[in-house]
Amino acid sequence: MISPPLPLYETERLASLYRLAVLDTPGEERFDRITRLASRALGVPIALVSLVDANRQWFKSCVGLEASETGRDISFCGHAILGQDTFVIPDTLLDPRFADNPLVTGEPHIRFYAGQPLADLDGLNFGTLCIIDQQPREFSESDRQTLRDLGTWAAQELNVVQINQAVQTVRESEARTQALLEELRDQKEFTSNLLQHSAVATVVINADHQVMLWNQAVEDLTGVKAQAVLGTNRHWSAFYPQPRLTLADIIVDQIYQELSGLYSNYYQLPRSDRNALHAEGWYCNLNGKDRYLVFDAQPVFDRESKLVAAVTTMQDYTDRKLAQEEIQNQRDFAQQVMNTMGQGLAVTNAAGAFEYVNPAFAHMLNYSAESLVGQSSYTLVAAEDAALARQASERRLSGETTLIEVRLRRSDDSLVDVLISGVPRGRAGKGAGTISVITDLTERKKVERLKTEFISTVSHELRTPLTSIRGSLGLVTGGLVGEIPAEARAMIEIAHKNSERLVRLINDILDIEKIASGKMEFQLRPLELLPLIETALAANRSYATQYGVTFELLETTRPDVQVQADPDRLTQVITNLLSNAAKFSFPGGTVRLTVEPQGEGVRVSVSDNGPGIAPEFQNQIFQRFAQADASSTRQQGGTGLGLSISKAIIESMNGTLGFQTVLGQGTTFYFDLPCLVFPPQVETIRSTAAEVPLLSRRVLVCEDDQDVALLLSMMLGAVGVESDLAYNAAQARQLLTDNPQRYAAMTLDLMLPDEDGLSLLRDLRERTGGLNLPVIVVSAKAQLGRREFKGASVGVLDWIDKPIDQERLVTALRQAFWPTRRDKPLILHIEDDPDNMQVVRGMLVNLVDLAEASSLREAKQRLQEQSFDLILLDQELLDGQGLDLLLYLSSGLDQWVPVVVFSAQEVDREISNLVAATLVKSRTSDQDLINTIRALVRSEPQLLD
Amino acid sequence: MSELKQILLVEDELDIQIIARMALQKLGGYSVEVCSSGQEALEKVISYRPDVILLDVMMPGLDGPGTLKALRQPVPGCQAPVIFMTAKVQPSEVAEYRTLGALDVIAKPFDPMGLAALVASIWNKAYD
Repeated sequence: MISPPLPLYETERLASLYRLAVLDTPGEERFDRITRLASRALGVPIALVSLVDANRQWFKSCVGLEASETGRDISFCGHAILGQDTFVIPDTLLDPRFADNPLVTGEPHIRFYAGQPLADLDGLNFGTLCIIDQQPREFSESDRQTLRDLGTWAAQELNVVQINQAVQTVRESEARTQALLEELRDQKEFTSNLLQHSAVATVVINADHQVMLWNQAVEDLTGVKAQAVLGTNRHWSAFYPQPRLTLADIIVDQIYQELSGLYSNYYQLPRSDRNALHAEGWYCNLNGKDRYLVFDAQPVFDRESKLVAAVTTMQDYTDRKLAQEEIQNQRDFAQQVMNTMGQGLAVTNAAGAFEYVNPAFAHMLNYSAESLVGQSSYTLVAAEDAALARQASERRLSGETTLIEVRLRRSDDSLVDVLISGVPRGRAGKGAGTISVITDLTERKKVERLKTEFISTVSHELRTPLTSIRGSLGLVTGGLVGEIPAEARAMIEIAHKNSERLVRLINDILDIEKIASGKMEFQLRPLELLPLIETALAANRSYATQYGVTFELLETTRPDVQVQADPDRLTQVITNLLSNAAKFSFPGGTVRLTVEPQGEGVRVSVSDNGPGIAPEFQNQIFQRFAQADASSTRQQGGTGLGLSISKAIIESMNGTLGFQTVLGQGTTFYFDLPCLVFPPQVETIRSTAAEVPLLSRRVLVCEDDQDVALLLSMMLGAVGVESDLAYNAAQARQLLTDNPQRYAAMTLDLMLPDEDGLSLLRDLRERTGGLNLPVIVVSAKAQLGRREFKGASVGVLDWIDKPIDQERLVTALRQAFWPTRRDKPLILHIEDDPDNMQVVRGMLVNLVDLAEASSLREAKQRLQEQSFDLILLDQELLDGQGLDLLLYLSSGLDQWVPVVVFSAQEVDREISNLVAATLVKSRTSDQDLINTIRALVRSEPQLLD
Repeated sequence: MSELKQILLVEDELDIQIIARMALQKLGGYSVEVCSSGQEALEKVISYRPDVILLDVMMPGLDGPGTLKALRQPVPGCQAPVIFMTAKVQPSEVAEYRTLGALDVIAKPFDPMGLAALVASIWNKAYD
């Protein structure tokens, strides 16, 4: 016996069999019907539906046999399933494969077998429909066909589940397909709707250039309706008068070489492998107006990357474009202005680096504009001006506009003077950089330099002849060329006065020029204010006298208050204010100079009681050549430049100058200066002006010039002193002889028509009952006279030059009226030997006020500080010859002081000629010394007597 | 230092010569010699020994500073103090004159009545 081998696809065959889920299930009529039919139709006792699994054959249906299964190894069906055709064994005993099979040799004694294989849908046999007989038999073709048909039937019955399942699957698949199709349709519709109703104008053409989509937005934009172009290739007609290719056509035909000819303003988008295109431009009269359209076109590919369509979107950028063009126009305009303007323009960022420079600025510095951009602006500023530039930039941070003059470095390292006007950028102005306009000052500087040179030259050229004019007139009026007739003198004095005014005018013009060009030089140093003011007051007294005005000083500051100032310039200011005040005072008025603390500084005020400044003139007061009316320039003899100069000077010394005025009451000009070292505390209040009125004693005025005599009389009258006039020496002598007690003092002109004033003076002094009458010499030759008198004791209180300094006159008069203001004469004793000093002190202590100096230097110091009635001098001093002091006294001091030489040796003739008396120590008794001193100060008779 | 007696005035303007000479002689009692140029002054100082020289700054030919420099050369070897007289008296200019060796500067136009006293005071200040 031969057991059946396994078929080729056994594993798959078994899987298919198990999938039928029919093994070991109850019998079913649909299979029994087939086995019954097979048994009857083919006349066999046994018919089976047998399924072959791994180890057995199991009968789903069985006719004529009690068993339900047998082993696979002895099965006939195991053989039958190996082939596709009907497996027939006509006589088992004759077949070696089966002759000894237990199913042949034993029950059911099989002699005949025919099995029709049953296959699944894939053709794998899982069993048979077989018939069995217990005797051999023939199997005809007709029998075979019958069995095959019945087998097909049985196979179908077996496969019916699987078929149903397949049908189900097909049905489901069809439904899914349907759903997908619907979805696709929906999507297509959606897309189409979307495009149709999109606000973005969209046109789609297919590969045949036919318009597939022309949405509402395109209609709105072009005015061309969809039905006019859909399905046609006339989409061009919406944009162009003649047929031409559009971007979409170019894409569809892939003819990109046409682009440059058709579109001047296009570019291919970055996804250029897909050939998307962008173009924009103006379209005339498109749906009623000129429009600027922006086109974007791109191809549409199907799944096989076949180009099937082109989509074009277009946007109306007209408004945006117009706005852009407007901005561009403005930019172009601004650019043109910046490029053509003569001034430099530079824009810097917050860090000070250039963001933009115009050609003029680059040219100014000999750079190219490109090379400047990005550079720091500060590196261009000359080192000396860097601080100024930084300072300005800080001020701009707080929103200020700045104007500075600096030097910038050119590319060749030369410097150029420029004026920079800087405006902070940005609304807040906080560190957003600067817009600067730069003006080249080279030409201006050149002109300025030429102007300065010109003025300097002209002023020199003017001054040279003026030196001659003023000089010669000065000498004539000074009497150096002898007497001249009164009428001529008046004319000469006019000329002289005006020559001096011309000198002042030239000086003032030069000052103004220096101030304007910033070239006025200041030598600031700490200085004590009060001595400077006192000196200025003294220097201007004679000027004030011309106007019959007196000065008065009032101070409420510490006497050692210091300011940082240029002494000459400060004196110039004080002089200007004093002379203005004097000019605008009424005759007999007083100009008050006040020094008082003012905040951290000191205020110096000069007040007059003049007419005040008219309101309409007040705001012009500091302008050049400003005077209330043109005629006052001539009347007042001023230049109209003084206040302007004064203001500039004070401001250069970090001070301020201002004024207060009340019409009809007077004007106060003041300046404030910061104080150094000493806070200007109020310590003492003292007045140098004697407020004691002069008694109504008379003064004899001996003066040949009637006008001058009158002036003197007026000056005296102004301080309450009455006077008698004598026009010559004879008259004077007569009046004094007639009534010696009538006069408290006399003023004496040295040039009298009938007699020399000096001889009159000597005569008066030498007469018995000799007049101790105090005399004030008032003469153009006063200084000459004083020189001539030298040490001679003539009891002259003061030698006053013409023009007459009223204040000085009044001071001298006070001395005449109240010589006892100091109740003892003040004597300066100059002696280097302390013992001698001690001796003299002992002698004189009760008689005089004694000041002592042990050196020449110290003596000069004392003499500058105060005036003395007499000087007692040791001839030999440690640090110089006493003689030198005599020279100093004759030239350096305003007042004549009698000198007594008190020496160990005989005194040189040369010296004795210069002094009032000489005494040799060894030969002089105490009384001699006292007598000599008394004699020399006898003009003040009540002293020492 | 001896007493101030002799003054040499160097000035190209004849008018100013006359005025300054008169002012110095009559008011100061000084002996005054006048030269019209720097060159003339260089010759003059060989025979005339001034105590002080008043020297105009702006002169044709040898100017004031040039004259001062030449005076100090071994020939003529004049060491007399020099006071410049000039209309150019800005502080920087004055400072420059001093650097050149000028004793002082008198500004033009000068006050003729005060000229002698001014010269004396400059002299005294320097030689006390």
